[in-house]
Amino acid sequence: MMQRRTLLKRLAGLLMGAMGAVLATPAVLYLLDPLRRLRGKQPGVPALPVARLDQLPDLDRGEAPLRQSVVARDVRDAWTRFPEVRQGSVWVYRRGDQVFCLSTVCPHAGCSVDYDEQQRRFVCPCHRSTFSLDGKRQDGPSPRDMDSLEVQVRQGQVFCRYQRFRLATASKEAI
Amino acid sequence: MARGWTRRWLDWLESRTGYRALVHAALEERIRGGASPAYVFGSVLTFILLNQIVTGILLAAYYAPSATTAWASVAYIQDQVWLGWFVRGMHSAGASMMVLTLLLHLVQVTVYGAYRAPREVNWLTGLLLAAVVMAFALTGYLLPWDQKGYWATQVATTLLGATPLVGRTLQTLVQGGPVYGNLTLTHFFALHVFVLPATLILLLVVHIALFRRHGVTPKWGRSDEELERTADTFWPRQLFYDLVAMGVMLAFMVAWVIKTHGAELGAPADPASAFDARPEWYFLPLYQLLKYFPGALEVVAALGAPLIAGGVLVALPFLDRAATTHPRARRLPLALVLGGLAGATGLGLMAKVEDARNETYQKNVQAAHQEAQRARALALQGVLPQGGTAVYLNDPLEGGRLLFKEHCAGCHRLGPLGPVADKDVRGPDLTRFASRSWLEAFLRDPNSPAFFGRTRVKGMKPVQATEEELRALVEWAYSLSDPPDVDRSLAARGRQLFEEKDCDLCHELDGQTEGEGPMLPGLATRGWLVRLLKEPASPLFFGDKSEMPSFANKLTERELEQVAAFVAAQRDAK
Ligand code: FES
Repeated sequence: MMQRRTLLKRLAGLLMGAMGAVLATPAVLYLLDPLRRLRGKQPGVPALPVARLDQLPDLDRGEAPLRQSVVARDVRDAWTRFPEVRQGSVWVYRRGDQVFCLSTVCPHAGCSVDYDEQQRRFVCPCHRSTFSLDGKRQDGPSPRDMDSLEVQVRQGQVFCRYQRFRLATASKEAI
Repeated sequence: MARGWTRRWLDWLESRTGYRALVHAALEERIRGGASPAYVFGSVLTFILLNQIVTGILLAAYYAPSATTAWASVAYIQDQVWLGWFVRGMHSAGASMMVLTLLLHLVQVTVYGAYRAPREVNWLTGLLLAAVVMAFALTGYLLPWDQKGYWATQVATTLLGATPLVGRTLQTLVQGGPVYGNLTLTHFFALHVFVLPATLILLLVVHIALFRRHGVTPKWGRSDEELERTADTFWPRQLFYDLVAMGVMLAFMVAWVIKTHGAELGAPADPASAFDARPEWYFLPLYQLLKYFPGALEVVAALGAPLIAGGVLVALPFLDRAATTHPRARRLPLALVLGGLAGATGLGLMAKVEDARNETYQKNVQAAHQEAQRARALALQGVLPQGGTAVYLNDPLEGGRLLFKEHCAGCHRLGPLGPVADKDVRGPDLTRFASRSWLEAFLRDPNSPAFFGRTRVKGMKPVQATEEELRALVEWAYSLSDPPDVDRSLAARGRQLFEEKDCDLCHELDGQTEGEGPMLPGLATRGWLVRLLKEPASPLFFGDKSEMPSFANKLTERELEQVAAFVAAQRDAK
């Protein structure tokens, strides 16, 4: 009698375990889908158009830099495809032949860096960090230079690889 | 060692919670007259409920209830999420099986007379539970926001709106407005995942508690003394029956879902379309009934039939005054319930048969299925933010048409698109572009206002040739886009004439050398068109005389492809 009860107990456990597994396995895999989607897809940072080369102001000729928003095209977010998504803004300009593209995000705490036309330098309005025309750190709490972004010029069009970087660190680390 | 450790841990839990008494009480439940397979339905229903809760939560993790996101998110679940089709299929199959098992449960309870005193309240909570389950089914059907859910549910809310006095107000409240929209979905979603589950669980607790209080109603014909003598506990035998029944149900559901690849997802809801909607099978009897009640009487039937059925069921324990539970002593109640069910089944079958014989309906079903396949294939590329039917814009021909309208139709005519006034036309007419007739007209008079006459691109002379030669040249030019119906020998003759007529002085054929006129290899193919759109002023195309702007930076690659596909399709347009 005892033996039969144990057997039944085991059998009941087995049945319940099997049913649980049938329900739980697909459930877990289903929830892991975002991980699966990530795998094998290491998308580089895309180069996005920011301005036409012939429109770039030349700071060496006393012009003021251009503040442009960087817009990514055809961005997928799960089931939605957005034709345009604003990624952020950049200061874009030339000094002679060199093209600059600086993120407007202040490396100190993330405020948006302005351009001061009188002083001819970049100024962050939050805690008064200042930067040279090349984006080099001058005064204030910012731990590093303004973050420059990789620039490409193709067929008269300026592209930049827009990225965000960790704030408040001396070194520039992409996130 | 491990056993000892588990034991100690469980002992600790016992000392803090006393859980063993609970488990004991559950397993040692007394069953008068012994275990029976007839008692499994309640457990199976609970099991399906568990399945609904689990799969429901899983679905909610990927679903977004709004008119713009519902369909796209369900399409994402169905076609892109790992095993999404399975999870959704199990939820849908569970709903159907829930209704089916509910009916079996009802029949068992009726036949055994388990609704009778003192179990009236238990019976009533059971009926309420059944109503909640139907409300679940009704609200859930709309959530994917596909054609069938959208149109079938319209019928339900319209009938609700026809209720005397309060109908209009009620319908507006349920829908969140006079017509279906975002609020309809959020309302149905809130009902389906919060209000109804809470109600269901509350009722279920009462239902089970009352069941435990009164115990099972054993089959008729056995004396009290015999019932006591054969009494058994829930564990092990009844639990076993229950587990096996659950296992069979689960196996059946899994097999069904795998065989059908889950529940069908229709094309996105389109208020502008005509759709031949049918409700789920369990509402078919009511649907069929409505066919027999014309005009104003329809509402009476739609609301009256469920009311009468519900009323009879509610009254059942109070009607049944028989001394025993023997069916022979309870002819009226049994006839009412079983007869009603048979009638409903008959109506449902008639609906099925009528549809099977209705050719128009069958054609509509086919068409709806194809539309659904098309929409879901397009949804793999992601659906634009406006959602739903915007998925069709992923179709290059549809998306390309809109892009053409926006970016090209300022200068080019194409069918009904393009400038109205002749003076605004600044490029060739692209209607049926690169078809034989277009090419022939073009070769006869390239500088006509319909072609380059209104542009600065000039210089090609009308081709001087006999009709036969012209046909050959047209065939050759036509062959460049590699259509299926080329007359090869005629095209070869055209190729010869191309040199004899000195066309090759301006047009290059290697796709690299720069010529006076545009390069011809791949003429009017998508690739050729994309290159042209990107660099119309390239020496390979029209050179710096071209007034057409470059679209390289104005349109994305995808958009360029779409415009090119749209224009390329002109060749075969009727
Ligand atoms: S955030 Fe720019 S200085 Fe602090």
